[in-house]
This record gives sequence, C-alpha cells and structure tokens, in this order.
Amino acid sequence: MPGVAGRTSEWRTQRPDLHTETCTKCMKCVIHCPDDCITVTEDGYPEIDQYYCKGCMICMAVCPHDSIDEVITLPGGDIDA
Amino acid sequence: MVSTKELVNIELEVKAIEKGNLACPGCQLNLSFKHALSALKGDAIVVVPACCTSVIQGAGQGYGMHVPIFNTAFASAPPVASGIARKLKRDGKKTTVVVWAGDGGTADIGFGSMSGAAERDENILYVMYDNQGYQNTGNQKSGATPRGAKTSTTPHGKKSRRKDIARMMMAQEVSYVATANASYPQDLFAKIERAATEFAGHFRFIQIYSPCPPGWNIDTKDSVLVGELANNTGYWPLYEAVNGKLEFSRPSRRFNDPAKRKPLADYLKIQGRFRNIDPEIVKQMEEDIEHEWSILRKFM
Repeated sequence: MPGVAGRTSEWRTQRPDLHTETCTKCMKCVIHCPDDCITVTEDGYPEIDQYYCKGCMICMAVCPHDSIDEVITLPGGDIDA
Repeated sequence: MVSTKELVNIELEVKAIEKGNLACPGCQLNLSFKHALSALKGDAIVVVPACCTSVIQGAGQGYGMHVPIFNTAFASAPPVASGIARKLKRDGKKTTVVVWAGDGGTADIGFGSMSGAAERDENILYVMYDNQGYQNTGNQKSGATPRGAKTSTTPHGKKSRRKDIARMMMAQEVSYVATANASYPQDLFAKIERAATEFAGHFRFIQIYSPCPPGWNIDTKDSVLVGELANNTGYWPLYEAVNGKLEFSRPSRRFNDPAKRKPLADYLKIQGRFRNIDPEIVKQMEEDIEHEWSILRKFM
C-alpha cells in the first residue's frame, strides 16, 4: 500500500529533474533510491515518482553523467520556486 | 554476483518496500531492507524488535513494507524467531526467518538472547543494521557508536571504542558471519543470498553499515558517499567468515594494504557528528583501524 505516511513529497524543499538526453540507463539511481520512487519505463529510462519523492537527492549524487538536476521547490514540495 | 540489470529486475518485481513510507529522507536502512528482501525474493518472515524499522513498516492501518512482519519487544526477537523457525520446520516450509534489528537491540539490549539463539544454532538469519546509535529515539549512544562520535548522551564525543559484534559472533563459532555496506548493494545482495541458501538450517549473522542522515548530521545526498568513504578509508572492512575462516570481500580487499587507504580525515569532515573532534581521539581512531585489520588478518 503506497503512501502510509501520506504525500511524502510535502517534506521536501528540492526535487530531482531527470534529463534523458545524457542518461545511459546505468540504473544507479534506481538501485540507490531509498524509497523505491524510481521505476523503469518501457523504453528503459528511469522515471521519478514526484508524488512520493522525499527530495533526498541521492539520485543526483550517484548519477555518473550529471543527468539529474536539482530544482528548488516552495514549501509543500509540489510547486517549483 | 548478481548483475545490475538482474538486480533492478528483481527489485522491481519483489517491491520489498512501498513508496511514501515513514523513513527519513535518505535513510540507508530502508535501502538495505529493499536489497536484502529482494535477495530473499520476498520469501521471508521478518521479526522486528523496537527500532527504526518498526516505525517504517507501518502506521495505523497501513503498511510500508511488503513482507510479513512480526513486531516484538526489544530483547525477545531471537526467541520469537526461533519459535517461528521451528514451526516452519515442522510444516516442512523453506521460508527464511529473518531478525531485522538495530544496533541498540543487538549490541546492548538484545545481546543475551541473540547469543543464546546462536548457541542453540537456530535456523535464523540475523541482520543487524548498524546506524551507530539509538536513532529512533533521538540519537542516544549505543554500544556500537564509534569512538569520537557526538550523540545526545555523549555531547563531547564518545571516548571508548565500539563493540564489534561481528567478531563476537565469530568467537561464538557461528557458521556464517559477514559485514556489508548499504553503498555496495550487489555485495550485500550476494551475502544475503549466500546466507539464505548455502547455510540454511544454521544461525547466520550479517552486520550492515547503514548511514543515518539526521543522526550523523550529514547531508541526505551524501549518505551513499559516506558509505563509500567508510570502505575506502578502511574504516568498515567488508568480509565473510565461513566456519571461522575469513575472506575479505571484493570492494574491501585492496585496503588490506594501509598505503592504499584514503586518509581518515576525508571520512570525518563530511559528518557533523565528528565536528571539532579532539586530535588525540582522531589519532586513536586511526590506530583502531589498523588494529581491526590486524585482528581480522589472523583469521584468514
């Protein structure tokens, strides 16, 4: 049952933004996401669930090709600043 | 060792943890749980004493983890798991019984009952995730807190060395003892898989190093980096000991040579719990690292 703690993206103050142009599908972000928020789409690219992402930015830190960018959000986590 | 692609496929299929659970952002225990239960293919009964996991696994009527979980009191996790394992044996089932306990519940409060279960050689896979303090209740000092770390009960840094539970279990002649690190998921996966298949029927012990961003005062995005530095400075040697015969794991093997290790200062400076630490304690910590490796080498 997803969402036992509600919409957990409201905890965050920044969110990851994936750029598929430089993504090599190495799957490091999928493996290291501690909340299982990154899944794989049909064409093999990772996809971030922005509704439950807590904004820890581990995916940005482990990405070897800098394909994930940090976007600052307003309190509440759903609107970009 | 499992390949990256297989690991991703198994994890997406098993889905051991759920999105939107109560773990803090960047929690490496949650990640270790995902890898460990994927290695068991979700076929496990998990016994959880009071620890961070008992919060993450659910609240109210919901659940945050996708496996059967038995919540129990602090020191009673190994006896409860022993009972479950014996009933499963009577029923002829192959399900793995896992005790998933924190370092406080293992090193301090639950040590007697774990040692008893190890002595009886119960069919349990005991996993101690080591976040080096009572992080659930507000970062109090535990037996596994390392020298120099500031906690809410040691505000000037802990003066004494940490308990090494993996070595204590080796002294008890447990058939499979291993240390793992949440930053090396494939190594962790292989160890859990090996413990569950090759050593089924015996007591097995695995200690996982899992950084805790709020307790250790680190940036959430650095939690994987801290794990990698713990390995590269030789601070957390990865090994498996089968019937007392020790072998270093692949990520750690080259750091047996002290010249190849990174300086310990790299590891200390990104963690707030080691800020303004006494240089005398840093020197003792450096000596501790070589001391640890020199003991482990004797078991090779």
